[in-house]
Amino acid sequence: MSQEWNISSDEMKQMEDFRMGRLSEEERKKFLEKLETDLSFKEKFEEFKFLMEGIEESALREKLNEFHEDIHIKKTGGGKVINKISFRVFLIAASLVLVIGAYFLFFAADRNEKIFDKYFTPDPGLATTMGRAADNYEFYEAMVKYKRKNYKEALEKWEILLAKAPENDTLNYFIGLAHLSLGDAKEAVLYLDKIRNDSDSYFYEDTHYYLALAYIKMGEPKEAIILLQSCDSKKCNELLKELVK
Amino acid sequence: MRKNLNPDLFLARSLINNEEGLLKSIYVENYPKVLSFIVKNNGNEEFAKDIFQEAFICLWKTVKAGKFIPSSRSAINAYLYRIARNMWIDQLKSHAFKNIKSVPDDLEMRSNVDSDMSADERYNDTEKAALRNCLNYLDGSCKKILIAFYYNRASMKEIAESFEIETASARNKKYRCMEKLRAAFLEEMKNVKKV
Repeated sequence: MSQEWNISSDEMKQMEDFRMGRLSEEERKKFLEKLETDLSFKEKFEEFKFLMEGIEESALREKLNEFHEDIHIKKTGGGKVINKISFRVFLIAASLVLVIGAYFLFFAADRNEKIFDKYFTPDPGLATTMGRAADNYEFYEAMVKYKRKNYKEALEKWEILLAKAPENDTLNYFIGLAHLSLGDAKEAVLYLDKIRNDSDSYFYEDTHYYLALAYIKMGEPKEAIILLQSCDSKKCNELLKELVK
Repeated sequence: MRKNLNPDLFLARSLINNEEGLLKSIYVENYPKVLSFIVKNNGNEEFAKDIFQEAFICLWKTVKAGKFIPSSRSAINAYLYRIARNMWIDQLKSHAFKNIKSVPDDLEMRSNVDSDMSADERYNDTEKAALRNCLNYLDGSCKKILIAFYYNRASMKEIAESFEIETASARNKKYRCMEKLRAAFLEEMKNVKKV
């Protein structure tokens, strides 16, 4: 690395777009050609790549420590590792009677609404910045609408795609989420329920969380508790604790 | 994403884009298994955390380099466990390990053995670690802007809003911060060579 770094901001932008998959196929080809033929550009790119990767890795290392703090693990005397599930099951069983009692004693409907409002924030959606394959273009176009909270427009596009792939977990998940974001819990349940047992799905945990919220909104917290028991994310645990308070 | 929406690319892209939900769920899902393995094999929690995090970084780098395109979550889990397991076995076999009480500094270098990445990289581990150090010593706003842009993939507009400045100023600031980081790195490497 020499002392001088003669990289222009335009060159840096090109490199960023390339690294983040924001170039069109044609631009990408041009960029790769330039790397092959222009040695000084290649040199600048290698330096840029090193800096960018260093920044990303540094940020990820900090994140990993944050993730670590969220892990609920208990160690027994013999060094055996156990998950908190058994404790949670106990907590649920011990509190179930209280929950049902509280449900009738207090203003259950009002409480459900409050819990829903407190815990519901729409799923932020998927990144739409990477290069898009042609078959995914419509999906991501709708994702942009979703992220801008244009849920109805997103739904129109996704429902067309769903007709071609009715079992697709991603589509069912986001269609459910769009309905829930519009306040229509009943409609959301129709879609989320289809994928609740799909344990291979990337959205498995989140499906349980949002489906539980939909049931809470519909005034069925018992159903929500059952769902939350089979979900081990932090969000699910927090919501479960709130329900069994 | 599965079925029609090209599962392989979706997982890889999400990892490449540092999507927090995915990274975190991979971490939370896999750590207990690695911890259990290391604790059962003469290790402890401190070692487990370090080994697991190095294995995680290794997985992430390998996917970013296009050398591993995971077809499913279980492929990711298996790969991560394998790296962590190999790293720990390697650690146990190492001569140095017999005489140490804490995690050795060269642990990080071992992680690259499994990823098969070191051969074609032009910067070595010392340089990479030096760069990460430099980032931590940059002024707070520089670190923040660089991480927001390159790691969190925030747009310049979003960054400008959070700093309450114009988008063009934010872009200039980011450019200057990259220059500062590079200069700090060169300075750091001079010192390393002197030592």
